[in-house]
Amino acid sequence: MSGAEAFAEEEVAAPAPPSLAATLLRDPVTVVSCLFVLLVALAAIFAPFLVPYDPLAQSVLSANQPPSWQHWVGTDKFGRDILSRIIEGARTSALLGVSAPILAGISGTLLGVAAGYFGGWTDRIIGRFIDLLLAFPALLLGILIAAALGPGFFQLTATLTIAFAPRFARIARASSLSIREEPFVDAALLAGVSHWRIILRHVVPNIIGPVIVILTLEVASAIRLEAALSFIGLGTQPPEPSWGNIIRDGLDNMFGSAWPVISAGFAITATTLAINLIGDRIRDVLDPDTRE
Amino acid sequence: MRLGMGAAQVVTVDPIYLNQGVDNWAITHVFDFLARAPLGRFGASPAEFTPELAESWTISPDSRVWTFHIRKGVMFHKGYGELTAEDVKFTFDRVRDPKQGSGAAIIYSNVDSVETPDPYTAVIRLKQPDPFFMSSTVHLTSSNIVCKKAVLEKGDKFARDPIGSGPYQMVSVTPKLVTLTANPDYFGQKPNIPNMEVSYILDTSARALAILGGQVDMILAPAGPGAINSIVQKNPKLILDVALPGNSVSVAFNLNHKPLDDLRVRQAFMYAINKEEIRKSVTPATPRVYGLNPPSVPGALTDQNCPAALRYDFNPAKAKQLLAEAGFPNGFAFPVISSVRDDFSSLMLIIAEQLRQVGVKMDLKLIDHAAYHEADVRDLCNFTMRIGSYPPVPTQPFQNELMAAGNVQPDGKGRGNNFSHYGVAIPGIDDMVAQAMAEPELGKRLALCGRIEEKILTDLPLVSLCTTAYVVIRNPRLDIGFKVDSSLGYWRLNQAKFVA
Repeated sequence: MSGAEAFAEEEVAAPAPPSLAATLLRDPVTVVSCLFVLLVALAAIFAPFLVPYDPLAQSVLSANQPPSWQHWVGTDKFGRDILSRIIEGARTSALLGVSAPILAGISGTLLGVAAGYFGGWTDRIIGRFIDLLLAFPALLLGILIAAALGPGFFQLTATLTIAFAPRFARIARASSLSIREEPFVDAALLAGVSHWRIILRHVVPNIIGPVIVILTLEVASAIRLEAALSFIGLGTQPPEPSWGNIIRDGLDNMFGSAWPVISAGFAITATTLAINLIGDRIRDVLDPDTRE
Repeated sequence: MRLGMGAAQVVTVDPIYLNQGVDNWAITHVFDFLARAPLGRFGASPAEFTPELAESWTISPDSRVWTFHIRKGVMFHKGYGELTAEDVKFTFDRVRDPKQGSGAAIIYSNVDSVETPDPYTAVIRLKQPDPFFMSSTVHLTSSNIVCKKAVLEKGDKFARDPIGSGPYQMVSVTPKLVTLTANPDYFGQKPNIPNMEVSYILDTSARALAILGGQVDMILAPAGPGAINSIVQKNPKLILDVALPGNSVSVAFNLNHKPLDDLRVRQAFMYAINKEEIRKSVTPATPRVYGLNPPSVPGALTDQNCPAALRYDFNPAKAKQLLAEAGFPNGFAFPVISSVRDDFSSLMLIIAEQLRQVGVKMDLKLIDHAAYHEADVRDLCNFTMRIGSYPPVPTQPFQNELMAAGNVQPDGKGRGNNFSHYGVAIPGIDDMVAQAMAEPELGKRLALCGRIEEKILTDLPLVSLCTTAYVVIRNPRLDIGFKVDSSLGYWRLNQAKFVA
């Protein structure tokens, strides 16, 4: 058997990498997770049509009701329908959970690629800045920024974007450092292709896999952080519902009705768990280095 | 004996710097008044007050000169010597001294001088006659008699190691816990229970758990709708001590801010806010208020005597019409800062929802309670809620909340709680209050107070929202020795004893 034949045979024997969708659908846990996330997404998109009651409408005289056919998870201390508030709260969580990681992904990746590709002083300045941000846990950074900018949705999005961007930047920098040394980059440079075109055409596509994996995991983090910041009063401000401030409101009134805490707690736990499970599977497919 | 009070931490135990009501629970046990209202209720007339540091007193016929005869042999805590008229003079001069920066100073503006002809006589001369002087001034927190020697010696440290003559003396003040121990030399009824702890538990669920679990003997009841009932349901044996009228709740419009400077907008708010619903949402439900003084105070506007045009019964259609006339047919949004404390946040959220029904969106920012009070006295608020208790002296809320002299300032050095800038932005009130306070005859004085209430309801510098009962939840094993009926938001516990 010649060396060439052996090489060819090995190539044939290697299984074709399974497609992303096929891998995800093969695992029942992932399917359930996907369905749950889809449910939350639909609830968030169609919230105004789905809520049985106005999520802000109070009826002080029918406060703290247990679950019933009228109010599936009961009412809070102001007589507001808890289910309606959870559904409306999903909007905040979903919108923030998607927008902050995407913004962080774009800005962080560009910064990281610029650092890795250009090297030198660019790398030193961006690198130190990223190190600085990474030194803080995301929640602490979130508290610092939210306290400085004040509460509110846009401030919260900005906060989480800044908190998440360094992780993308670090991955992007490491990957582009090695790609920078590849012969095809030198070839492109000699052919007179501009730096930004090389970055966008050759570097970014080669690091997109790990970026998407982080992106998925950060969606869950964003939802969790929004809840945490709203819980301590720096996120979504009442009376607008968000899962975090529903828990905060409910905690004061645990003896009146525990349902706000239980239902919003379930929503946060189940959603972040589902997204993390999906994220893990995506990583298994897109990021072969970490596959067992 | 352990008390669980609803605040993040102790602010001060120095009487003249009081700014959160719950600190009174420690203050009232460390210090004595010259004379005290009967336990569990307000003193309606000076005759009802019982001697404390003053054995007796005489009042000049025009209610202008009050002479107090000080009890002999009253000793300050921790060997600070005998209490004399000099300490009384020092106490009243200290709170009046602008350099001290006491927030209560405006109430003392009527005090002309304090003289001490001998060590056991204090003569307080007033600028204007005040038949209510006992309840308006002598019985205020800042009139607790402090030890002159200790204040001068300790300076700022006095707030952490106060020296008074009361039934309990200070052991330690830490942010979350004030520890007191019985004063063995107390001249009055010596405490039955040797130790007392006032702990600060802001979280209402934690406070509820503390009383249900028996870690504390009394808690300040939580204020959210239905909250008291949900605790008492878990243990029906718990006792409720209810003081009415308790706290008065008002919300001041900042008359310097647009669009609240427009009278039609303020009228619209009055019609949009459903006071009937709000008074029923608090536990126990309280009577409807019309003016700044609740109906139980002499001279107040009541259901019977409130002019029809000034009742502002709930009428959302009229509110919308007024907003349209003011140029806001689709409503508007306005920023509001308020406190996270349960009573503030729940009442503000109810108002926010009622205003939303007429198209006014409140962009609410709920901040820490101490930070909120820091913001409100610095004139940073738009629509400022104030919750506090007053003695049944009808002129006192006007003085504190509406007169030019009590105007809040950006540097925080204002002398009162006038968050609306009434009296400055819309003048007139100061003269009317001065006239009422100069009127010696009670009937006429009360009639003038009624006119002031009507002027306030015409100009609308604030919304007088409701009263909330001051409720303490008590473990039945603690007997406080009297029934609470009407009171400022604290009462003395030296008669308290544990019963099986």
